[in-house]
Amino acid sequence: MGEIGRPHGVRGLVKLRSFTADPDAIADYGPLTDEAGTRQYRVVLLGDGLARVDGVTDRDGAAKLTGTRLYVERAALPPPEPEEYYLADLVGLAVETPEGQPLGTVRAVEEHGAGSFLVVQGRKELLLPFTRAVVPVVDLVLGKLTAIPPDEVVVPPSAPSAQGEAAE
Amino acid sequence: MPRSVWKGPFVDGYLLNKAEAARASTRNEIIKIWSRRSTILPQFVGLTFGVYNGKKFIPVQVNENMVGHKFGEFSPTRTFTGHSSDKKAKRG
Repeated sequence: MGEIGRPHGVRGLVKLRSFTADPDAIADYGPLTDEAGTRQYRVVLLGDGLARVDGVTDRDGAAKLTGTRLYVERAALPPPEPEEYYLADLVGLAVETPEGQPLGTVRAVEEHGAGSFLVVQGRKELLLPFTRAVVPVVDLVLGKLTAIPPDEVVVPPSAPSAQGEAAE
Repeated sequence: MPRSVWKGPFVDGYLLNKAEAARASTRNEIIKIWSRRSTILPQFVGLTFGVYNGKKFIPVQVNENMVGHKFGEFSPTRTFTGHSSDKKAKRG
């Protein structure tokens, strides 16, 4: 969910890097834990990327936390809307065709302003648009999704009349 | 200085032909293009393009809000690996 950065001042404040979709939401999921899950941290956001960690009152204590990565239990996240999936749930799913032929596993889910797409790592990397037409079945219980890879139509720049301009 | 209005939006001509053919067919297809400089026209809405970023073809599902932008804007050329955290993806 985030990472504790360098100490700030002498009263135990720290810089906090938030990785959540809404940076301020990092404190909304209850206590955060370290990677091993052995220690809990309650953080209070103060603005400008600063935070106060409960139980830390001086700079030395804050300095010991530098570099600590913060996690939360998956169950603490609210259930997603219909047709929405947490990226953490999708990553690692096995991908196969409707006929059962394996295509690989989901390595990442990316979004660059034009719809989400799955990066599927198999024998070769596949980029599949995350749409109902291409990914009709997502089964989180079985840990797999069914994909129908779209046909690829290649339009090389050397095609005839390549340099035209559209008339308005 | 912006492009003169009287010229109309720039788009590589062969994309228009290909888009028309793609709209006519009902197949589930991705149109791989190298033309990052072409403007997204209303004729492209609903189609999926694979826009080359120098290494791979990034899927771009065109919607109404993208009209007037260039294809290259949706296919970044630099790698950014973020954190999944509480982020969600919506199936289109």
